[in-house]
Amino acid sequence: VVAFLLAHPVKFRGHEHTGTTSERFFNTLVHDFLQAGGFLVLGATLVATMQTVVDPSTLQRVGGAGLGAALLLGALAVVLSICSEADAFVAAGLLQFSLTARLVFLTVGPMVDIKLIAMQAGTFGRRFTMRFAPLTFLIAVGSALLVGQWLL
Amino acid sequence: VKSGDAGFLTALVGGSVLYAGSTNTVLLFLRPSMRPYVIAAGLVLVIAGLAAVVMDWRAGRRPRRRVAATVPAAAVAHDHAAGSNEHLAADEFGDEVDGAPALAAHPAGIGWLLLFPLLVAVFVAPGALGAYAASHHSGLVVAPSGTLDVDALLRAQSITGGVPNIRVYDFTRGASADGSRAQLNGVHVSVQAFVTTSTKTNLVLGRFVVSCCAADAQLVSIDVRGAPPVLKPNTWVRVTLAFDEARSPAAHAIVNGAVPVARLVKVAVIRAPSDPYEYLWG
Repeated sequence: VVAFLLAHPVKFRGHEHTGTTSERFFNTLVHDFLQAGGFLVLGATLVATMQTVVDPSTLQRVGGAGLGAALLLGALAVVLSICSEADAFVAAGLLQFSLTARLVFLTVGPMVDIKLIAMQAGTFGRRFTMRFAPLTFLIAVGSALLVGQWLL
Repeated sequence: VKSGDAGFLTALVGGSVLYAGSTNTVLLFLRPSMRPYVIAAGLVLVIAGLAAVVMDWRAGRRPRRRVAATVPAAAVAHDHAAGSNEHLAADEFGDEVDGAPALAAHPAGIGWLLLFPLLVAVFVAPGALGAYAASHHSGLVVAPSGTLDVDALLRAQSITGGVPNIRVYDFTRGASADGSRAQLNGVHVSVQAFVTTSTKTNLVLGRFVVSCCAADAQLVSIDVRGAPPVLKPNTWVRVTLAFDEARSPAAHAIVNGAVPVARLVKVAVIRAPSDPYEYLWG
């Protein structure tokens, strides 16, 4: 939410559809679905490519603690785009990393990943996404590090 | 893209989703518990798509002036400038002023990309993940979590007198925890899996564990030693086996992805199950 407010200084404007209420309803539904779906296909293609090209087991062997490891796992979460129902099981397997670094992985994953970035670029425009995605990443990493420092 | 085309495309995608949801196709990609949501989503898309097609057809027969009269003048002027009555998604943030992305300027245009997975589904018809994916699996290993209740297994065995059926994932869990390893050692259990590699002395079994969809599938394996028949990769088998603690890697190594070793008791070739994956929960 913080990243959203920081990244978008412009006011919302209403949709501009013509026709009766039900025409506007179905046209908006169909257009919104096609737009989100199209960008989802784009994002999923990128994710599938990254998952094939980037070999996570090499990262796993690196391991470690501290800020470097946290940023590495944050980047891994963005690249792999694992859904939030599955990432806990993957994080549990990242034994070589500190608990704080794994918390960063779990926090960044649902907030910023390739398919979300593609969909945000489609819905809000590229300029907004260029501000929004990095801000969200920094805030997610920062809050995970803070909580990790305090609790873990 | 005209509203009619957009409606047609939406109905087409919805129809495919509905088809996948009402056949076992959906099980190649998603957990079985997702099926009702897939069917509901397909229905909504088909209805909305067809409604948009019908309304576009009816609006086309209506005189243009009546349509224009129902919206503010500014919006109409904008529509005429844009050359269509599609809304500009990037407008909401004023991005079109400083150069909107070309794709976002035509919201339904990018929607045609949805045909891509449909064409792949029709022409490539990807099957369930199997031996090929297993031999190329470089992903993260799923850490077996929790312990296997070997006591309950043994009780079930003593009551029914048969060999208990367990998941490959449960076997791995039992083998990866110091608490359950010794207890599981030598106990006959039966698992269903596909053949990854097969020689005269080794039969490596594989099964993918899914937590929500095939995209997060993780491989679990058992290395079965004995004198098995040599089978082709991807053959589905029901194998009775016994965990061999002495020859298995250590518990912590199995947590990190090492393959537990079992002694072969019996192997039977079976038909591929309709749900090819094991599920982490639910």
